[in-house]
Amino acid sequence: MTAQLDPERIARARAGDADAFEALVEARVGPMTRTAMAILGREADARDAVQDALVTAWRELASLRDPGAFDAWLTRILVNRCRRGLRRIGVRRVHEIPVEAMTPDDEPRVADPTAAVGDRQALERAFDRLAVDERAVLVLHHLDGLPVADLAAVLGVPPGTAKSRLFAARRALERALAREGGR
Amino acid sequence: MSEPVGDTHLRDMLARRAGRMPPEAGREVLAAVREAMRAPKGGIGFALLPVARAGRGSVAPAGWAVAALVAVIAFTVLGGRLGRGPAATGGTTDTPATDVPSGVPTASGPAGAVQRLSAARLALGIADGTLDGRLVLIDSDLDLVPQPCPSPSTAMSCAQPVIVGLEDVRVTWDRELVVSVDATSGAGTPPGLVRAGTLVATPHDGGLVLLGYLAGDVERPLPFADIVSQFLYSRADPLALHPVSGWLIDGVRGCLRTPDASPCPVLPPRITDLEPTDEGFLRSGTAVEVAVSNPASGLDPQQVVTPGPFLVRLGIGRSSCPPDDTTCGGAPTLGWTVVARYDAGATVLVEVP
Repeated sequence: MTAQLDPERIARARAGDADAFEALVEARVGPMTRTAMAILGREADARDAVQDALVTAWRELASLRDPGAFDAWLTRILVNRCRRGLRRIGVRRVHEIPVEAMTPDDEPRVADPTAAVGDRQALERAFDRLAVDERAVLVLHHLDGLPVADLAAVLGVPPGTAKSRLFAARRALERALAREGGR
Repeated sequence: MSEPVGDTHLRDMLARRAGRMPPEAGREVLAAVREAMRAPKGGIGFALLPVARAGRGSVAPAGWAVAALVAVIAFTVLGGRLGRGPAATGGTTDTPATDVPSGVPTASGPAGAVQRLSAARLALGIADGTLDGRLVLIDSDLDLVPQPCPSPSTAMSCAQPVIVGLEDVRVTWDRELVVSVDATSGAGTPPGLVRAGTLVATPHDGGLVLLGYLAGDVERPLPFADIVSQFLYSRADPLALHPVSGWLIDGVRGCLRTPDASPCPVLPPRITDLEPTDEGFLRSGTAVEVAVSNPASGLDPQQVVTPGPFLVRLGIGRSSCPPDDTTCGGAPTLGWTVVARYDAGATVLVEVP
């Protein structure tokens, strides 16, 4: 959802200029709705999450210290709003990452690009079984194309941790797919 | 066994999923956002029902009416603030913004209102100890980061709690929570933990002690007896903290069970749904035995009668030994524990953006 940053526009928006804020997010709202849709899977929930995220961003913009980090900050708010969206749907159980699943160097496993997925719907159902944070890292990395460094900025964690979360999410998806009978 | 999912297939699936969002959705959402920004008062707000501070007295019905009125006013004020946009916040998301000189919260927020803090201000207050003992509500999620299990392992020792958005703050489990989860589940990774909802913690010794998560509306606590009957045959979730109303009676000596005892033993703490006398005697109504977490946040151990609301947990508590009987070694029992007293004026709310 990265669009060109205009420091002057951010400064005006931070000062309470609603027009500047609108201009700032205009190019970002489309990609945001796609990201939210990919995470949540339901149009109404995704629209709510984006709307809520933008209103929150407007309210909290003054607390953003580094205007250069606007995109990462906005994406983080969006992911948090997606999390709340799912929370409204119902209480989720913690997804536990088994200790043995963590490799010493936390390197993501290289997936076989030629591996066939027998049932596309099964993959999506498996994706729906994931916690929202797991969905988010997969969407941001594989759909939005965020490199690990940018993913780390969005999550507010060191790159190593972002990598490890990406890896864990991938493994969780594979396990969920196995439960769906797709693997 | 699970097999790797190909990058291409994953990307295709996500693209198909995202593609179900109509192209005009962005424009429509932006229009709705524009409306919300221009509205003088937003529909978004947060208000908690303020109650009187713990005292020998109680909250009379008239007091509740006043408290409810204050809550309505608080909601209106907050609603007005939220509609004004970033410039109106004075550069911070915290409240109050004007009378806090050094980033450290005052001892109490505006009368009866929950104090809102940014994550940065919370970290500051934790580090310098000024928030110690306060109740902290955090609207975020809990990550359980696996760590090598010690031997012998306990349920919670295999996972390090991390609060999303507060990754730099050290978080430890409430000791009694650990006992409860270990006793109910045995060794291994912690089962049955829930990450949704508002997390409840209290700062201590430069970090946060995680007490659990809110399992109800703290604005509308239910009578304790209702909660007890509701969970009579339910499986305990020790992380769940239920907001309940009532009066806690603690430290009263009585000879109801052994009339010839001398001196009369201290009776177990109880929560009653009708206001007792100042001395802790029941006028009527029901009372349910509880354990009191040591130390329970917001409770004065010297106080005989404390009005609620309280946050209570159903889990493995200490045995039902009398509080002053240090020789009693009864087995741990499943029961209700008072973890904290909820006082809006002494509570801080942290909203992770």
